[in-house]
Amino acid sequence: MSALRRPHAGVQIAVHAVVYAVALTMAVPFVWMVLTSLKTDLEAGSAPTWSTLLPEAAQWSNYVAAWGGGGRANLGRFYWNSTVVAVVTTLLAVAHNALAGFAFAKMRFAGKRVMFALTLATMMLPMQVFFIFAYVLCSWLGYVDNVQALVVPFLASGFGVFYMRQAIGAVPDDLLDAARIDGMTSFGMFWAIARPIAWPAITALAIFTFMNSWNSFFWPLIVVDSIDQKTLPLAVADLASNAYYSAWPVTMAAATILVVPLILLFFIAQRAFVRGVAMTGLKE
Amino acid sequence: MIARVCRWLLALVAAGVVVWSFARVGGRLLAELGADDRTEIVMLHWGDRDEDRVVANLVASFEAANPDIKIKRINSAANYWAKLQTMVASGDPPDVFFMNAYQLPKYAPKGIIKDVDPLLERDAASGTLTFDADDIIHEAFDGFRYDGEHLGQGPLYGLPMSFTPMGFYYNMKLFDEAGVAYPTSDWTWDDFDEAAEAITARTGKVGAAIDLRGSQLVRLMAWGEGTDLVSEDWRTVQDGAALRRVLDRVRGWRDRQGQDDTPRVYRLFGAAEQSLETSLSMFVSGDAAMQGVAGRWFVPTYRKIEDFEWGWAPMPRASRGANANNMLYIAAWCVSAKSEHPEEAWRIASYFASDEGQRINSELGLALPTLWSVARGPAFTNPDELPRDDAVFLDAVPGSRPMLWPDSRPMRAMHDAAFGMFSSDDKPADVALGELQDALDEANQSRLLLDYPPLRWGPIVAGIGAIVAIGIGVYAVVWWRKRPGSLRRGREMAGLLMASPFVLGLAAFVAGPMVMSLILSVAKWSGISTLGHAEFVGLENYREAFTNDMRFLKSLSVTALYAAMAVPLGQVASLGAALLMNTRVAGINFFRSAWYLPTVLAGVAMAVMWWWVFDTNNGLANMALSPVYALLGTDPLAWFGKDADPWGVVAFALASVWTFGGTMLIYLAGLAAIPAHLYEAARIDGAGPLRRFASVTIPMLSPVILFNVIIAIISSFQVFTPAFVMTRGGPENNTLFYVLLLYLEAFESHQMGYASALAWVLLVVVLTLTAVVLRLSKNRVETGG
Repeated sequence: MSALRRPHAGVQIAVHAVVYAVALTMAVPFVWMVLTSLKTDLEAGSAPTWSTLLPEAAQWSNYVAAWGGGGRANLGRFYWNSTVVAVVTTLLAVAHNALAGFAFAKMRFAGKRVMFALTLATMMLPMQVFFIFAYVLCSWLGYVDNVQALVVPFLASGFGVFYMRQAIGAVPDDLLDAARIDGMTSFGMFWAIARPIAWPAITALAIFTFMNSWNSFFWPLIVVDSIDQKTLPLAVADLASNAYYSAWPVTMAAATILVVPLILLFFIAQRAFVRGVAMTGLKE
Repeated sequence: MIARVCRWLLALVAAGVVVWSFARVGGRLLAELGADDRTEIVMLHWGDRDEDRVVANLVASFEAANPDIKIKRINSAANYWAKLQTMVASGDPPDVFFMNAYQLPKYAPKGIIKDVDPLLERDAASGTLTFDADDIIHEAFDGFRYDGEHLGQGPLYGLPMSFTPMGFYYNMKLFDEAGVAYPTSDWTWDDFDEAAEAITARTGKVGAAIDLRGSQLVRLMAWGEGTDLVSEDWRTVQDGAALRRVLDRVRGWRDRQGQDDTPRVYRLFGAAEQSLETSLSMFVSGDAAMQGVAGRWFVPTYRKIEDFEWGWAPMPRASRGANANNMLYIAAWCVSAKSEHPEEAWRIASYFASDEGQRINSELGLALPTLWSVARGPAFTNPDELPRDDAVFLDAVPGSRPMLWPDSRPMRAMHDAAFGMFSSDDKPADVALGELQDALDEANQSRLLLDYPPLRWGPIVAGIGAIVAIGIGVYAVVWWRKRPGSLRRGREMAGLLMASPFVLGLAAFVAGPMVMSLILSVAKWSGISTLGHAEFVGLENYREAFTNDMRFLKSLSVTALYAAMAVPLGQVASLGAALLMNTRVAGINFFRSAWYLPTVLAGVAMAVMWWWVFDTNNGLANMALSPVYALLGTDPLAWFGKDADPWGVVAFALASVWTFGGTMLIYLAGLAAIPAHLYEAARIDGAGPLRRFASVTIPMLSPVILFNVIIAIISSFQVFTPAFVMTRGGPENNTLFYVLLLYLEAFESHQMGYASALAWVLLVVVLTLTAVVLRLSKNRVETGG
């Protein structure tokens, strides 16, 4: 970042050391998951010791078994379902929430404060208490066992709007006033001024929305019935749901398959994110 | 120009979304016009992939024989009861569904399961019964009768499909090696202990890996002694010589789990923390000679293991010649009392219970069929496969019955008492049983057990309508008085237009359900009947929480402790990480991804890892802390065991720090929005890095910090998944997070009204905290440039 000049060598070494150490620590869960995915059921089920940390011989067949979905349907189908749901949800939800965030942050309209306060309040009730009613609603709308059930309820997000309002709130009012005097429309101001400046935050929101949608488990479990409509986490849960015997390695292999696209996606998205950061740097 | 094009595009997309959102409503009408003439029957069941295949076969052969019926099969293995409850509550229950004798008492009184006795009689009279009434195994069928108080009496609520008695698996090779005779159907607990001791002495292996299953094993052993843990009305602890004999035996096992150099004769599961090691993994690896208490469930799994010779014996008896008093686990197909196609649904259930259905279902060997002819026939009794003699399962049936369990509050108290007595840091039996009695008294005083007048929905709907109308009216008046000039009107409309898709979506999918939960917070509603059955209780739910539910305050304090640790830890970690990420380090893209990694990992996989990290003996956490333990001269912590108060919560808070990636990203985006010229100006003024951090970064970042802190408070008070997957609130409620309690009340105790009240208490708590934070930050947060 241009904000900081290159510091002393000693400081730099210290920074590097911390960065590497944290990265190692943060990698532990993932490494553990991959290691477990390569073990036999017996190895994974034995009491954990250092000597059994590594699999004796890598069991790649766990990945074959996981991909085959235990013979019901292969994971490719569920990949497609998850991708459709996550992409549509992300595009629509970010558009919804960024627009509303702009309105709450920079526009004046009657009832704004009350609406925003109510928005905040909706975040404070746990979903566990009202998903039954959300299900009833989805059932009326014919959403159950359809892709709409996984998308529409997630479009309006209290978190998303709150975040967008805070992020767009940082856009200087002078810029907007100047644009308005130049005759720019409200939507034009959102598009040409607020959007580029808040782009890192919008990207971050997109990342969160996508990840949440991709990993979402509790709600799909209730609203998805048929195998054809299942998303990836449900398929993974099916693998793990052998009530009598915990086949951790195959489950872990499936969990790895589930998460790898997210990691790749994050890697790509955060570069766009950084570009967005650089862009705002120019604007200032 | 671009803006105009975009605006049109956006309008188009918006219109598309609206059409798409309501497409199903129209689509349904069209579908009904062009539907095929088969009757669709919705069927809900559970089962892993082997069982799923069996049910699929059943459905296929039924459909082949009944071309007029089409079955829509839903396998909801991962969360069966929540799914069933949701379908029932929405007024659209499945026509045919799976049920076990354990859950039956909760559902039977709600009038949603058909009493099938009349249907059986009718079919028997007309000669169309699909099986021979003399052929049924009565223990299994009678176990599915319930009269409101006792299992085994009253109407029959389904056609039992499969069942199993309980007992122990044994490893034949280890028995041979030690020269111990295999268990027989009439063995006693003394035989059991003798065998375990002898095998450990002669082979060095663990004699028995024992699952306590909460308090189930204790109750089962007490049955053998002719008593129980708690009286039949769930009011009084059955403390007496017989129960004490049982408790002493189990405590004896606990003491022989091997410490220092003593041999490890037993390994108890369910009294200590969750671990990767299970009784099953010990048995399969040949480390334990006996495993139980378990039904026939493991047979398919054990059959797949090569070079593994094993057998099964029913529950040992209290003494030679005593009654077995074994327990049965029973699963049955039930027919919905609300089904629009009761005849078709009945045909399906009775096909599954028929000879042919039972034969197909016995393929797996997972449980016992409920017809004697099938149980004794080749479909079930397979001499080529282990166990050598399937008859031992059948021999254990006579005199056995299903176990009735109370509501979840007394049930949890019973499990807690067992944990208290048998964990490594034990409570004396007197204390544990005394606590159990207190908990039973509390549960029996519960206001939720009383009957109340019905909730009148008419006035409520009218009231809500009035409130909404008044709201709109007030809004119109306010708008009119402050109405903007024509110049500003456009802007006002634009603002409303931009916010409205969000506001409408939120109103439909969040605010609507919220209002419902507010109404229900003054109601008693089980969630396993339609809303019309709700009763009006006034403020009794709230009173119950504050005056008669020990778990309410416990869970509130557990959650507050968690929040007090997780919020600051998470903010410091993520802000620190964001600052580091903002520096120049080679390969920063890689690290940014690496640091975000744990945030994308979710669910069961992570829960299993944390079991390993916080394992008492071999976990990473205790490994890292061993110098500290050495310094203090203390034993390693049993995070989710005896030290769970408060270390279980600490463990969850530490684990939560790993997922700082999201917050880090928000900080990073916030840092990016700080204009560079501010730093330049500060530098020119001679400010060092710390000074720049304190007077540029922090003030400029303050809106983001405020946002993150509020979000962190909200989400830490709603933490649910880790505890739900890992500890289920145990041991002894020490990790009973607030939303977990709420979930248990809603979906295990079936007290949706009470759960709604709990939710609104949470809302008030979090709202208050948020208000305090906002207040404190009032003059410290920069707004609007």
